Amino acid sequence: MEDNFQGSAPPPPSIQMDSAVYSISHSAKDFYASVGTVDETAVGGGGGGGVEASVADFRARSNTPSTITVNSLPRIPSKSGLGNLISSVVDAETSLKNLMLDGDGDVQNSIRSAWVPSERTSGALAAIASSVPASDFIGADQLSKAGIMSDKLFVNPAFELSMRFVGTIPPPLLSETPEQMIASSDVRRLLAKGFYSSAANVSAKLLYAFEQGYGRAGHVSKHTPQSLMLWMYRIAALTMLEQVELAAKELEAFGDLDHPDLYLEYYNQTSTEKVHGSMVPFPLRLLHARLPQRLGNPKATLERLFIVKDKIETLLKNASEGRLPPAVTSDLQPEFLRIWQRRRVTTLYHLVAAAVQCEDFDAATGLLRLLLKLSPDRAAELWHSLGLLYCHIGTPRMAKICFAASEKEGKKSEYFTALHRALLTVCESSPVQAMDVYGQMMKQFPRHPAVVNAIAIGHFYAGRMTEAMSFLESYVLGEPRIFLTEQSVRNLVAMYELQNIQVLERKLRLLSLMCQYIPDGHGVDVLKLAE
Amino acid sequence: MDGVTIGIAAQPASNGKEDNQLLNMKVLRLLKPSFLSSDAALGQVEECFLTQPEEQDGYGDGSLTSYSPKKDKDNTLLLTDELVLPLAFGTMFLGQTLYCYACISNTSNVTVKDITVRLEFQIQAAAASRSEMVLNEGKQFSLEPQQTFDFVINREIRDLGSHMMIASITHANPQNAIDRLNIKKCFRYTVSKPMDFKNKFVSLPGGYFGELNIQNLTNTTIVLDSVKMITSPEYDSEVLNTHEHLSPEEQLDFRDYLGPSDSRQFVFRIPLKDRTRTADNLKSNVSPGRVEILWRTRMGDVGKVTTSPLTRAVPDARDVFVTLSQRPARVQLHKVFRVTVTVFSLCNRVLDFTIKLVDNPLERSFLWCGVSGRKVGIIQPGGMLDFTLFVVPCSLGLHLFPRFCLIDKHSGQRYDSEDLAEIFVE
Repeated sequence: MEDNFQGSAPPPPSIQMDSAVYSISHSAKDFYASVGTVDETAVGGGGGGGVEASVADFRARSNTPSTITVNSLPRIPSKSGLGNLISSVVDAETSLKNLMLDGDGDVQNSIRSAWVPSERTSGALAAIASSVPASDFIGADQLSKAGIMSDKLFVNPAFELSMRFVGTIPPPLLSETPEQMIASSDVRRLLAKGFYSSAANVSAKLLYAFEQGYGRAGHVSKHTPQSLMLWMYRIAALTMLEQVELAAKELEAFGDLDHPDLYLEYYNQTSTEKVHGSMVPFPLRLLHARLPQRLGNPKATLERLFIVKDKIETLLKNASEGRLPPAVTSDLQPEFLRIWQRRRVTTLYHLVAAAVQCEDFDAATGLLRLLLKLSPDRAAELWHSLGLLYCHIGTPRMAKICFAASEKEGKKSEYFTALHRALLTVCESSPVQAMDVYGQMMKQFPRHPAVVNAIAIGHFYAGRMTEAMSFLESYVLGEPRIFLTEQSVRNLVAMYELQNIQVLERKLRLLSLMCQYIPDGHGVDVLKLAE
Repeated sequence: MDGVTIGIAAQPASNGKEDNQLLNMKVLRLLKPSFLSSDAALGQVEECFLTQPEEQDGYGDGSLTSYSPKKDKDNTLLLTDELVLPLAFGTMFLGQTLYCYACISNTSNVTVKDITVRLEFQIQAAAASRSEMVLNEGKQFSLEPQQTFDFVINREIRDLGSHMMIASITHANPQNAIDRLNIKKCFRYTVSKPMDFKNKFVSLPGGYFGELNIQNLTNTTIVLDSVKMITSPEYDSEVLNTHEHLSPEEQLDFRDYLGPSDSRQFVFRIPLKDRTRTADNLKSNVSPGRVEILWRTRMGDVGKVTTSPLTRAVPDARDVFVTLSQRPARVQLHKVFRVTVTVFSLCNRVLDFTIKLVDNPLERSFLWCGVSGRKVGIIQPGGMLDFTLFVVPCSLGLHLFPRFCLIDKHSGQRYDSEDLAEIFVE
């Protein structure tokens, strides 16, 4: 394995995708090919030209993806090269700038890649710095031998269901369709727009160029910031597709995201310019941490998140005492602190969410109150969240205190004042009693799915299911762009199943709306059609 | 889904010849609606869920303020304010009210006439099983194809054990005018105990002092909304560990919920309204009262439990009861302090006491100041007597108050004091 790495270029991967995999239904094949999957020829095992897969030109190349093949190891970009690369990979003009990079797309790379390696890893990196050959002391278990673990091509689940139950697919009415993004291999945008299956397929395809495609797991390959970025997209897409087991399997090769070959120092011996830091994008750490929870092990998630938090604390403590990472100049210290404080806040939010999910309410409320101390500018929002949490736990008395604090902190907002009153009524008495407040809100804020749903729920609890259903349906069917939300779908499906009349027809009507209005038909499993 | 739970797709216990039935009945337990949780690994990606961001901006009525989770893409990993209907039956606990939405639908393509619905609850309690009729729909009604008849049932759950709700629906046979068709559906659920109580009462002159320990037996978090002592008329009750005097923010430090297996202790003082009746009180074994607990679960679903009358340890039959009615909790080394001793008489004779201050050479943390063997006074039957003692602390730390004894002049009986208090010397 390791000689592979030490030696020259490994032979070009010969990948033959099984065309049967994605031609799920022949009648729909054309459709899938354009919407849900990548082009078969995209990665074809041809011996095209020698593409240097540094992602800067990788992106330029990816318009003609059929020629991507690798016969030399990816070049490790120099520091300046990295800068270019980030700005080209990170689509700065997208409206969802914050999406995957927690808003620091234009942050100095030296700041963002700071990390604290474990003792074993830092030992290995120190040895490399003193020019000991890597293979002498780095164990096989310390290398990230990553590879795509499934050659499955994902398709839009709503289309799949529609083909199965109706035989046709209603034409999507989205403002954007994924074809252009697939053609330009813009995984980030695919993800941002919710085309998760295409994002999973395209990122898998692009990883072939890094010798980390299907079948390459267990082989040594070279990591670059770009390959890891692609891994982040791949894992995010798989998570959104509920393919958590696959995501966990693919991430396994990276261990705790702390292997020496994930640090830039590891490659310094082959590069003239010295670079420092971890290549692992920060959101990938959070994704990695949140995965066990989805696999039924919430404690592991809490543990991983706390480790991330600890490392951030260490970075912050060192930086505030003037000990900045090697590549960060002292004039960048304020910026460094700002970025990592924000990341600490993000990590804490993830911790709260994880704690709520494993019903550790002590931790959740405690962390929220820690957040209140750390980001006082968000006090109104945080008090609001804390109030919601207390409602969820079931203590309206505490919720009331928090909502009052939120209203005191924030700008006067009639919507939130009314919402708080309504939620407290739901908690203290019942959704039927809360209908008065929601009815008032409906007059002022007629375009909120949450309000419409709450009124429908009020009707339902008062024993008027038919009324509740037709009320909610009139909004969902009338203005699906606004009212076709997961919440509305869940509530309608619950009522359809209880009423037990024309259940399939009604669900299919929602399915067709979801095909038309929801990118990638995400959340279609709420319809429970597959059962 | 096992036999214990029913949910939206609750199937009758007897899953027999379903298909040729004209009517269908389904039941959903109306737990409070819950918040839709955003459990995506990346809250940000979750934001793209179902609505496109551009369209979200189209709300346009200015109602979403700066801290709206919809607009703030950074950190929306917490609960949303979107209510969704409950799907699971959950667990039924004693003291809760079972709210159910029942829906009878005509799934056939013929009109079903003369329908009657009868609903009964069967309880297989430990003692004997019994059944109660809840709804006995005398009126007959018809259902057109695709039409439904729905109603909400509510029922307070007062028994533990296995319960069954049995719905019997009868209707005319559309094929002939003679016989009637029956449909019987059973929904089974188990009622379990939400919490465990342990209590301990101490009789004191002038009333009781009680500790109540509540342990959560469920596997979810429960909120103790109110814990009240309902006493018999001659007593008052006062909870000693309240947080009501605290500011709102300070109150948040004291959680009022219990996680699975957590327990919480409540301390009550139950004073006699008429303090002169102390002697009777100490001898009687009347229950101090019962405890009523209002509790809530997820989203404020209420339950109410009341304990059976609590018992207390009846103090041993004795002639006097001695207590330190006034004493400092902490004192300074080598500084004399005073304590007030109160003696209650529980006997029918007149007592005339002389005090003897006991010196224990092995334990001289405190030294008496004053004369041993002096007279302290006469107590009438059922009466009480206060006197003052002076003590000087001689070593640092937490020490037991020294013992003394009272000697009755008439009978010569000697009453030794017990360990009355611990006092911290600093």
